[in-house]
Amino acid sequence: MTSGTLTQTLARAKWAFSTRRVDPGDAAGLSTRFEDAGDGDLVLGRVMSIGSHRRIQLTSGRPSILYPEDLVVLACGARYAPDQFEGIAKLDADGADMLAGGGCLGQMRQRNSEMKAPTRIEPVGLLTSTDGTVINLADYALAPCPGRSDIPVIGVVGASMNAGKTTATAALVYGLRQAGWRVAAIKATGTGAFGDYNAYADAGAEYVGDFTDTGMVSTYLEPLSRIIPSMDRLVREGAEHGCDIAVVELADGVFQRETAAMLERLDVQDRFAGFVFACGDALAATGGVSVLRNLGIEPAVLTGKVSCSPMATAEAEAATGIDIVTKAGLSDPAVANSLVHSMASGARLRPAA
Amino acid sequence: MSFYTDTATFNAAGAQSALSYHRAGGTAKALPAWIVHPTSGSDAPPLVAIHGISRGAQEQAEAFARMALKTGRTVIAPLFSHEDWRGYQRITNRYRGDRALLALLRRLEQTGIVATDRFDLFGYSGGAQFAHRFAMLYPQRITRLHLAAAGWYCLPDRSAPYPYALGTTGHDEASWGCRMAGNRDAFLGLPLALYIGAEDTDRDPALRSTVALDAQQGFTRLDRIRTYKSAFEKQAWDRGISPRTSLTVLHGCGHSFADCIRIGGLDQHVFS
Repeated sequence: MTSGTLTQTLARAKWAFSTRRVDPGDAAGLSTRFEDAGDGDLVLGRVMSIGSHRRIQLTSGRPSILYPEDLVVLACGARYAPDQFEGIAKLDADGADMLAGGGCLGQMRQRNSEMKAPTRIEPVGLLTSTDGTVINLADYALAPCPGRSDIPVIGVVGASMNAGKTTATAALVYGLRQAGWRVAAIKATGTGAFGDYNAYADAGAEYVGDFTDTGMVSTYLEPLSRIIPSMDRLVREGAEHGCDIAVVELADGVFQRETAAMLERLDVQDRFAGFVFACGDALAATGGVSVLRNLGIEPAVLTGKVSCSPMATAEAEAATGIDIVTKAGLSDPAVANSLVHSMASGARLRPAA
Repeated sequence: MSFYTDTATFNAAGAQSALSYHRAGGTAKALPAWIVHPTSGSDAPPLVAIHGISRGAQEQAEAFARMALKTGRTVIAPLFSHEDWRGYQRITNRYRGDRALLALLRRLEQTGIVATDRFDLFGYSGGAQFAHRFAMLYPQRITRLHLAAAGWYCLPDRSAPYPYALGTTGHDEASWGCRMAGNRDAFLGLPLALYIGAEDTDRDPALRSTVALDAQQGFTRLDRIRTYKSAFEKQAWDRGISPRTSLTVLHGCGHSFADCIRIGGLDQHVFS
């Protein structure tokens, strides 16, 4: 394929959200050494069959309906999603699995029984630069920056996928913004997708970032030596954007591999002024709080789907002794402000300029 | 959102600045405000002035206009109307005056009338009640808190249930005490300027009087402001914070905002 033809081909392709930092003009060729593909490598693919993911999330922030033969650009990566798929960063020339609508291509290992088979993508080639090296998301990551910001960081963790973490994060961002804070909203672990990203932006976050900004399409199976500096870098980026506070969501539940490993570490716990725990019911609240307490973490409040039910709320509060706050509560500037003040010491919590 | 530029203008020393009435936005409980916006603005934070139960927002804006124009500081005097905002000074009523004020300030920021998230907050009488409760909820928004002649206070300690202090009772309203208590260190670190007329010692019908309140805070506004100052300072010291408080007694003044301005020079104290 000539460079002009490649440029035209790539211009027609649907570029996934996870590739939003990539400059398409950097692509000078294609490699078919799919056996060498790894996390973050960019793949030009062709849709073979439509399965579970019927849409791809575009870099523009809108979903695009997929059709057979569509050309797409995604990143090779792993995914952990108990409600959907578990997969690894591996490509087969005969066909790969679209593991996430945000643009994660790999090999499915297992799936939730309620999910259809994944959408299948035929790899056309790995995008290469002028020197022939495969282009990777990491090539477009925020520049490394030593040291950490000292703005207060509020962690949002949950009992499981779909427990209400993103809703809680967005509500808290909104409430803090109404109270006059400039807020950074950050997704520190998970799989790149625009749902959470857009939810944070819609709530008024001054800065929104996720691990794709630090070069990862997914944090699943990534070492903590990469994930923790990524989180620090994103918080620092928020501070450099003038934010006073960062709200950081950790994906999935407290048992998820990377989330659990992070929460176990005291040096990670020390990065957070406090935690909000989202859960679906009273039993999840009791179990989740027990797990967190065993790690030495006392959530400041509970929230999530459990807060929709007055009866479940009463049960969970009685069982844990921790207040439950609804989405409306977190969105209330008085509640959000009190929460952040009670978590962060006065020395670290600086008023907006 | 619009401005009535045909309302009474208030020019001083040839300054091209008007006292204008800022209409409320689209929501039913949005606040209107009287605004003094000097054209030669300074970097100093604006002053938000909260009226008492006589709803004298325009009176406060006019009273502070001379000093506002002299110093280049914007004055914003929101109007909590009788019709929509009964008991506004408690904040915790069904309609939330704190959220309405935050929304007003956001609108003014969007239109360029204010350029900062932080402001001096002044309140007279019932307005001082609103002001100190607002400051306990959002201390980071306040550069200096000015409280004049409040009838009674929410003490920043746990000596009584909310709204008399920040203790809890299990009643719903007590959760407000918890919220304010969560912000207490930031609140106690604020510069606090207190003002009272030397003759503000009448137990008039507007002064809340119960056996418990009298015992906790004193019999008159003069007694109660001293109680508040002491409680504020004690809490600050107990929490390792050096209080920055002042109490100015305005001689020749009773419980009258107009007299406090005219005789006591309250506007000059607030702008000093």
